[in-house]
Amino acid sequence: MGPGEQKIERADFGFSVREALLWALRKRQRFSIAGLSMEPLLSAGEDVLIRPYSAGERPHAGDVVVLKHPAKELHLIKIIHRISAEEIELRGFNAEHSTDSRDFGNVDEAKLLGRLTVILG
Amino acid sequence: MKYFLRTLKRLSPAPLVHAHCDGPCGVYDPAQARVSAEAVVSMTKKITELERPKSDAAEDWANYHNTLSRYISIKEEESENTKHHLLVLWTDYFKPEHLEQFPDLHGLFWKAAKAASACKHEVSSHHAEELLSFVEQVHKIFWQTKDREVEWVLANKK
Repeated sequence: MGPGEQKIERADFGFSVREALLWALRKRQRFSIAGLSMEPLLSAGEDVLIRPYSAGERPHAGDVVVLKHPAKELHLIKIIHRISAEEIELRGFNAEHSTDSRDFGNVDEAKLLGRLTVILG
Repeated sequence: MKYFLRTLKRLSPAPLVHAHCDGPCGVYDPAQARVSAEAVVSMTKKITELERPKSDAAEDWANYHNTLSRYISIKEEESENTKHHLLVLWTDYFKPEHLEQFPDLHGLFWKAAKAASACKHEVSSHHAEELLSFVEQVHKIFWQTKDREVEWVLANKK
């Protein structure tokens, strides 16, 4: 299943007081978006909250995730395109303008920092 | 809420997370390669058609060599530019799924880059025209991958 087929929408990541409180309690991480590959879901300059996967929890196709770049010292935000027992294939929401698994290959689960819960804007 | 978020962003900026493409804007267009390749064709033609001075006057010969050197210099520069623009498309724009659709893509870029090199170190209207025709093939494939019909138009009339 590709990002285009999953109908991921901004409305899925609306603000919630619960998430804001969890962020205040340091259970969520805040990141600021740079770049265009997640347009129109996420725009450059917007802040988002990320929830780390809990112990034993498995990521799913369609999760919007923050991960460590496999080769560079930076964090990426992408969508899980496909997932198997061993590896995860990632795409940008705006696949035409994205550097993702098609360029740097698939990644393993340990690279994931967590999944998107809220778009703060 | 918006005020709070704005203040938060200003006072405590969050670490950046990249939603990146390699091209900063994702703007690619084979027209850049086409303009350079046309310049190669034009300069090759000018070099072969440049008339030698009829007199022995030193100034006439100096002008002749000056013009010839400029033509050669531009031809080499534009050959290199054509190769550069093609390589950017090849390495940054085209992705594996395009290769599935156009299995000859690698071969085309390889031949085009070779032709650009040949144009740089030779004076060959054959190779210059060949280079332009490879760029035309890239143009056609490129716009097919975008599902758009874009006419192949030359700046210089033939």
